[in-house]
Amino acid sequence: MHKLLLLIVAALAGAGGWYVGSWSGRDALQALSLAKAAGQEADAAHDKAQKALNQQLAELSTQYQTGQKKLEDEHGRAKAEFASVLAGRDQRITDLGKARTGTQTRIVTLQQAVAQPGISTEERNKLQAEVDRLQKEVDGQKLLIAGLECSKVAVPAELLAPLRGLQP
Amino acid sequence: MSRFCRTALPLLLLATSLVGCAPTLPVIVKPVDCAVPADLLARRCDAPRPLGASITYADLIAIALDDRRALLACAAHDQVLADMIGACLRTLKAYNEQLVEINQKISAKP
Repeated sequence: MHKLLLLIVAALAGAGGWYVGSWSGRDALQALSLAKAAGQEADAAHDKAQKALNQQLAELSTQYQTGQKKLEDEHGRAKAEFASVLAGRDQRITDLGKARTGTQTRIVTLQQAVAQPGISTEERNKLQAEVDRLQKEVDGQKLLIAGLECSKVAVPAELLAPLRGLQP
Repeated sequence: MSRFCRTALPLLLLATSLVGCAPTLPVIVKPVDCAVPADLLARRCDAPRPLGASITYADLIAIALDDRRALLACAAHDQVLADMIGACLRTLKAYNEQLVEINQKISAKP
């Protein structure tokens, strides 16, 4: 009887061990399967993120290159325009000088007309307005000539000193 | 209760409880690469043009023209690098959040 009881307990323990073992194995397989699926999900997330990032970086790089090209083109145009102004500077000064003389002559003529005794107030005001307009024109021409002449002058050392201090 | 039962039963219970200590499998993930172009990283801003011993006002304008171009180029370079780093950080943040979610899923016992 005692041996039979031992046999039954041994059989029950064996069955229990088998059940628990298979249950544990199933759990491990499930965990492995979950880990595999998670790995695939992580891979997919990585590929998607990397692809999107690479695309963004490529777009930013392209935008930058385009901007740089535009900047270089604009700089080239600005330098050419500046060189052209310098090349024509003396001729421009001469032309402006002639124009200024012509305007001044016209102002003198108009001022003489304004001073005429028989002229109506309305006409005088009209001529005076024209004199004022021409005077402004002359002032502008003088300023332009002075500025163009100035561009040929060397910058005084004391004016350059602060800029030189900022050099690397 | 026999001596056998007194020994066998706790062992069986202990063996059964150990199932709960099954290890969690780690998932090794690929890192996200922040591939900023090497030439862009290597680029440096141009230094201001040197001022000669005797320069005219026209020379000064020409120098200012070049320095202005260099400054604009430098600002654009600075901006693109900042934008790229920003894009990388945003992507990494989103990716890391996804990884945390995935890890939480596999950490949960079935």
